[in-house]
Amino acid sequence: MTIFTKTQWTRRALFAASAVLVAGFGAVGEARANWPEGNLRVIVPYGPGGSSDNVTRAITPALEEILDTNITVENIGGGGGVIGVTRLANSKPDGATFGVVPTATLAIAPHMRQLNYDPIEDIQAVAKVAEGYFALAMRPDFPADTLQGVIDYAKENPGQLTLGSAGVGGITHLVVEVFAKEADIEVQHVPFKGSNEAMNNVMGGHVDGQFDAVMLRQAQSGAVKPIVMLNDQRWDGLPDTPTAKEEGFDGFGTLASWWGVIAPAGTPQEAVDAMSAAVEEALQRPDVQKRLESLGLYGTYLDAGAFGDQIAENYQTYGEILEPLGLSQ
Amino acid sequence: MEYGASVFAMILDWKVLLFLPLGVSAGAIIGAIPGLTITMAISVLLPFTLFLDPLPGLVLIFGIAKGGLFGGSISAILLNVPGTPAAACTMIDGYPLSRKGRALEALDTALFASFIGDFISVLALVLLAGALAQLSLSFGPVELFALIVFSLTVIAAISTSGLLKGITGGALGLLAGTVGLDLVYASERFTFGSPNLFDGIAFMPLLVGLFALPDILLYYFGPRQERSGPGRAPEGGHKRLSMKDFRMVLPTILKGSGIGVLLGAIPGIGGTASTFVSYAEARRTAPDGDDFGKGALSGVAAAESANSGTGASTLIPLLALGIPGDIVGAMLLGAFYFHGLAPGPMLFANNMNFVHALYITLFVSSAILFGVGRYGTRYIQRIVEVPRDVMFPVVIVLTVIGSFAISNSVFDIWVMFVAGLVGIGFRILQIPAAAFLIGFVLSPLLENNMQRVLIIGRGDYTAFFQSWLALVFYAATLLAVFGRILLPAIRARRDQAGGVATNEL
Repeated sequence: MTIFTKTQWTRRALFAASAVLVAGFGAVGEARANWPEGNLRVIVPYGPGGSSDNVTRAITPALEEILDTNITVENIGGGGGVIGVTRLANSKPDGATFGVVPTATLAIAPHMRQLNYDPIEDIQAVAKVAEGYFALAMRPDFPADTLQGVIDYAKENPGQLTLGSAGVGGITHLVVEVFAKEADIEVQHVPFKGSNEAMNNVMGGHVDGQFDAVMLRQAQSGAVKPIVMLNDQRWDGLPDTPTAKEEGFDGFGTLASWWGVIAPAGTPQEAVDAMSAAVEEALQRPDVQKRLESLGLYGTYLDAGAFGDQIAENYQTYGEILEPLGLSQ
Repeated sequence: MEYGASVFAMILDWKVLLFLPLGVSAGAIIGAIPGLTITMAISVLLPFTLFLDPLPGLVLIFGIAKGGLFGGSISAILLNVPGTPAAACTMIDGYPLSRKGRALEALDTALFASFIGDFISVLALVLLAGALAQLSLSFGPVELFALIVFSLTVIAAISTSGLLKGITGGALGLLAGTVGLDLVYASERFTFGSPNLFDGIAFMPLLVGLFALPDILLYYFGPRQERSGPGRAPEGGHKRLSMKDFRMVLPTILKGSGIGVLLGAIPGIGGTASTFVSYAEARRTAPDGDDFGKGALSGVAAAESANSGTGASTLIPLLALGIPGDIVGAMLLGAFYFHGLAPGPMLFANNMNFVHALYITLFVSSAILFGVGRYGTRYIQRIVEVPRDVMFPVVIVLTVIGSFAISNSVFDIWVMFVAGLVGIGFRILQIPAAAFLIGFVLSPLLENNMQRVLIIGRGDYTAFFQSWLALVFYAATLLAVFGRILLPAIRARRDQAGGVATNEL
């Protein structure tokens, strides 16, 4: 009992000493040399169980270990992700608040309606975490097997081709519109609530096809017909499915669905760098890689600068795509 | 023999044996507390289960999901606050029963309905997975639209204060369901520029405000006569469900289970909407159908059997096709892949012993659910004996926290209070809040599928009739409208002409 009390006191003494030290550092202007100072919070702008939540929970245990701190995951859903990002943008940039967000919240949503944040001015990019595989697959009895075949079908039967998406204004919708524009065909875009509901309709033959990561596993089992991969490389699970570039179709450009860590603008540079380095390290761990793979994603680290450039570039390009569709405000 | 041994070796793991009762009990408790949702619990727990073997992890998750489907009914019946969205429909008849001093009977009905629904659901998963998975694929936008049209007829059935008022409530609900961004053009509707309303009015705050708050607000701020009367539910509420009543609700339970199983297998409908379809069907046929909305055991049975019926059947598209039926399914899919188990036909070919072990634990957890519920309800039903002066402050705290916690949003607390005022308005005008609720739940399904049909058919209205399944639902709708609504109304008119004053229209 006495020993217990003793240790407790020693711990308190240590705590007090460190507190004094920290205060001392602060006084000489060496603020946050030992970031993180306390617990961190990570805002996920969607409810539990969605892909952003899954990505977050795939990396946070590793980040907690690497940074030796506690991370609270805060699900602030609603508004198609914009409420959580608004909350993040308005948070104090003290290096304790981060967010994990998908492409749409930064590169698409701000074009579509008046928001309370600017994706470039109010957001500090920290690290790109993952990208999703992206494939076009058609219902099993669709009469064409190749990308050119799909385009020809659409040209021969104007207005007949229907492609599903996970919802208007998402990346799976955007790619449908890019495809229609670049291939110069008419496509009926059928929005669903989420990728899986759309996939169910492709498998049931109610719509013709869908661009999505969820199609890959179904294509493996033969329930849908894979046409092309939109990624730069083929997917190991479907070695015979060509990429769009191999098929000679360059129209998709750098279109990709990604997830990344962001922070409020004005967050101290060392906090950004330390977090970014922690993400890079976490992505090298096999269990994190395996978890991402199980979600249909793969880790693609970019540091704060490069990730910020990608956000800005995507924001620009997607604005140009949305404008003629009447979807931008 | 060797095969059987490998299956049982998986099940007789101490972790499995521990997590089976633990998951179900925890799920029932989480489900009973408004604001703690099953999805939330599973999302937090899932990363930890990945470090376990596949079976113990899945057992824990399924247990929570199952327990939660029943747990939601406890607070719906006792407090008029549904613990989970899927229990919204249970509340319509459950709470009136509880006010009449029949809380334990209502809880028993909910438990039997949940247990049987769950059991049938597992049975369907084991025996009919392939066939049901194929059937679920035939439900496209046209079929879903027709099904929702049929479900809307239930609004007439629960309009205890007159058809016109019921339709008004339903129409207001449909309208309220359109708040937010529209499906096709993402244009803002009734959002007043607030991102808080982009996704529509949050369901739980609305539900809690509409049903639980009016009682409380009227108790404290209402006219004096609202405050007098019994301070607590009448005594004598210790009666368990009689055999006679059980026999009466059994057909409803079986039918509701079937509806839940079928609709659970179709991605995108969900437990909440399927309770209303079951409720609509039960209203048509149940012996106590005329008491629906006023405290009918069959109403509770219909709702609870349907939501528990979806329990295991949401796994059908997941296991047979690799399509997650809901958000929990989507998380499970990730867990399967993490363990190197690819759902779909290959799972049955490569990991048959795992599938069989899973089936057996699902059956066992049904039995555990029954045991936990049977034992637990005996004590928990005493909540109705707590005086209102003690109970209402607790409920207020629960509702405020519950509304906030769903998406950490203060705005949603305001939604709840506004919904509470609307609920009082409905009472004064005698508009059935349940009709509003049904309209609200079904509104997005109705509208979104209508839009999809029109996009696919390129604006051609005949697209709505190009499916035999849809035609069956339309026919059922016509039958319900003529048989249950128009004919009784005409008859009532005739009676009225004969001198008997009724208040039906």
